[in-house]
Amino acid sequence: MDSQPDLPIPISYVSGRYLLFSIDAVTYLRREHNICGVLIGTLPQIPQQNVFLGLPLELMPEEARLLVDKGVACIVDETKAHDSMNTLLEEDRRRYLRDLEAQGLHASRLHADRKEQQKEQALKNRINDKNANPKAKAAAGAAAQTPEDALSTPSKKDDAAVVDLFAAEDPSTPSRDASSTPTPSQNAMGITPATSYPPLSIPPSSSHLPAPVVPPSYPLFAHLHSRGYFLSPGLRFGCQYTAYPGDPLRFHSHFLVVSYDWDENIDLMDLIVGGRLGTGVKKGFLIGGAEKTLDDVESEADRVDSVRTFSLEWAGM
Amino acid sequence: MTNTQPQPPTIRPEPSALSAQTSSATHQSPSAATSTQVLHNLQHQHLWTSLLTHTIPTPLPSSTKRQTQTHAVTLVSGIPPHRVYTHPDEQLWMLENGIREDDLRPERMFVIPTAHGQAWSLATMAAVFDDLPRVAGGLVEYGHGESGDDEMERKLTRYYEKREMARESREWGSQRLLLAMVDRGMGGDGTVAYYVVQEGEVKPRQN
Repeated sequence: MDSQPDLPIPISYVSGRYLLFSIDAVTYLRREHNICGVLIGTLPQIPQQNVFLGLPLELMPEEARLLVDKGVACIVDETKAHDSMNTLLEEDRRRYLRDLEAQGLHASRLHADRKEQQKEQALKNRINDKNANPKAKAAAGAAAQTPEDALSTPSKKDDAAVVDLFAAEDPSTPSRDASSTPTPSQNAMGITPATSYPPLSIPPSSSHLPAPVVPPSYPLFAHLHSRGYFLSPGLRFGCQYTAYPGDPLRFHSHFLVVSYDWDENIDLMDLIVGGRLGTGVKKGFLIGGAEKTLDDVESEADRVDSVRTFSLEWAGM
Repeated sequence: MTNTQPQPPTIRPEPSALSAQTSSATHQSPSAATSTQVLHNLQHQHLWTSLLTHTIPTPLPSSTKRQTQTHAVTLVSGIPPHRVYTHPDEQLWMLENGIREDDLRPERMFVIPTAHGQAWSLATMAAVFDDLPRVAGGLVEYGHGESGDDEMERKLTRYYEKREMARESREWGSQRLLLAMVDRGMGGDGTVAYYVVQEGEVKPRQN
């Protein structure tokens, strides 16, 4: 599971969204770079099933920008990349399909083996039960029968049963072997690959798009991310970002985050509203922003160092 | 249609004790009036003692860095009858070491008085926090341990040592203030809302 994809990871830019289609990249970014994104893939036939979503993963522009600035990812224009996809050589395509089929065969073989093992285990259990029961009965009724009779007759029967059972199973074994030979078989499992690189080749760096345009809250986002917080969109809590102290699957979030410009007029009622809301859901309300503007410094990275934050909580008085 | 009859003169009620105090104690700015009202509320509703006021200059939100206009904010400080804020890690440490909040000496707490509709910004907030050590210098520790119990004295000594370390490492949070907000619209209802503001990311309490 600890596979590392080739860097930089290509982020697909599709009609204004930053998407990831490779499961390798998604798990790697979550594990190593604290970037969760939002899974948005649903079933084409049943789009109302939106409790468990899958690939692709949508990234906020802030997340995409952060990864590009770190050199972990690059932005690829999906429309252009799509055109170059038919340059995938026929030979490559066939090799990839063969590869997929081999994987499918392997999977079905593993599946069959496991079934076989379960069957044998179940049979063994049943035989043991049969052996145990007559003995118990015989011991109970020992007064009526001679010991030799009681013990010998059932055991003979059982031996026959064991032989029969294995004999009955024998024909099935060759057939399973036959299926595992390289003849094209119908029981190869269908594999749906969850990675796009391979089969696609990594696009050349000359075709990468520039770093994403980010909202003014980016310095605060990058500041909190650098402190180890996992950030997710804050709509469901009525804020800009929700900050988790670790992976959201393990921790409750600590803060409702709202960013302000340094000299922006803050309505004090918003602070009360945020503080009250945060306390109601056992979180802090965090406001912050960069002291320096883009005129003062050369890059966004320098602004991140000048971010100051304040946490608010209801005082209970 | 005009009313020719002379109107009887409007009878105004006597101003409340608070209004009387505000009008007599304030001289110059509306922000000073807010401070007086908050001070009054702390003193009489929340029973704070040893109340003081401190004036610090802050930039106005509309001003840019090139042409900074400052305006004075009057902070209020006092000693609450009970502890207002305990950091969650501090609470855990106290629990493990058998110290209750009531065992600790009362401490001076600083309050920023604000009014609904007042201009406010991150720059103002930062200016207040930057000036706080200067204002609070020498006023931080106050009160006296009254228990004659030796065991408790030892525990408290350890607690204060630990807290001094925590103050430097900031593991129990850094500087904190109370933000007091007064409602001025419709004359207000006398409510003052208090919020704890801390510098940096300080994890929330488990309340």
